[in-house]
Amino acid sequence: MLPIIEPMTGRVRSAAPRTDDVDDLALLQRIAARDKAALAALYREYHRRLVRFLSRFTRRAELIEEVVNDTFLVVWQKAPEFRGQARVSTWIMGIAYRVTLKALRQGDLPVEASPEALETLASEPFADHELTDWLNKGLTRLTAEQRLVMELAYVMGHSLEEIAELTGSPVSTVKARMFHARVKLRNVMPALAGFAEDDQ
Amino acid sequence: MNTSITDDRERTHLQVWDTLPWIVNGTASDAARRAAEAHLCECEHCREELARQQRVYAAMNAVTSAEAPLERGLDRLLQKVQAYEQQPGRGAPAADGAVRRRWAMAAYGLAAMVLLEAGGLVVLGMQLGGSHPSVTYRTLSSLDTALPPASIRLVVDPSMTVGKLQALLVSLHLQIVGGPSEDGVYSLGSLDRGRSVESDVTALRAASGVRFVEPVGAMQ
Repeated sequence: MLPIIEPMTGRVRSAAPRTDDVDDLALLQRIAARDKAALAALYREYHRRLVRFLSRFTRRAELIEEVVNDTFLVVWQKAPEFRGQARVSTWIMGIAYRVTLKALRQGDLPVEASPEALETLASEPFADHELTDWLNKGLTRLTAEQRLVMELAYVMGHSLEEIAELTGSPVSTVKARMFHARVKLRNVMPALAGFAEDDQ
Repeated sequence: MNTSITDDRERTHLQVWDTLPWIVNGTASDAARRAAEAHLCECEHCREELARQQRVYAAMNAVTSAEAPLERGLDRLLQKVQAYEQQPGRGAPAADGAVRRRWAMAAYGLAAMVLLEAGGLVVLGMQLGGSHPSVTYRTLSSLDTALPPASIRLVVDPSMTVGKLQALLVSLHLQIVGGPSEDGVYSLGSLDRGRSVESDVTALRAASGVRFVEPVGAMQ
């Protein structure tokens, strides 16, 4: 009878795992045995995904590289402790989340809206430059945790349960962070595309 | 009864409103999706919020990824891993002689820097009053490799961390063979006889966290 809920056109799911988790697990086992070739293979597998995740925070390649490499150094260190408690992709994203959160809290990642980001806008039917500009400004008003939940859901395409798992938080906490992020965004954004309406 | 229906509707409204971001990104369960579709038919607020979140979603995905060269990043990661692995206490000692020497060097560097970082003024190889001759100082005992002769004196900035000093010395095939003196001077020897002292001095001077570097002869 619907479609009230229409599939998002141009929806990007490149953030989703591209390989079978079994392959990742095999690589992780080799890494646990101190196999650097396996580390390199896993790095190649996840590099694009992590760069995409971090591109929303900074456009500076050296900062992105630092966070990606800090993440993989932890992967190297912690691989022997992995016991299959989560999907490898979720486990790696969880490490990336914590490294990024730490960088954001320490001010290592610039939080201002990036002019380069606006220049790289692709042609999206739902997007326009004005909205994206306001959104970039609005995102800087969120706490690091709120912003990361939005990034994990909207840019990385993670489910509610996955975000809870990789952030080590209860589902209710993830929902609350997303709730506050949405309310804050609406409050700081102008009467653009219906953002100023108080309609919950 | 009416109150109960109202409560149920309100509960459903809040549940759907919470779920909308995952409806938008396509990861909500089928049950959540069906519940949302049923509720959206009768709730204008949630329909507007859905449209709003779809716009946010689209805008957030409209920015392309930054350029971050993969191969360069991988090279640096492997260097980082190498430095990490060379820290004392990491992994099993390798049978290879050259690797074993690097482990010994790393152990020397770490032990000395731990003393420095502890903040104490450690006087090593010196006795108060000067009545005793200098004592040969070794950070670790029972090494079966002969120490190379001291060819460089080094003083590092207090901000220099153990890991940075270690990585720096390993990259130049240098080893701490003495010190730190009470002035914080380290004596370094080269494990690579093919390298000139001048080139090592130049490389050390170019490194961050290095306060002072001189060839041994220049200080005498």
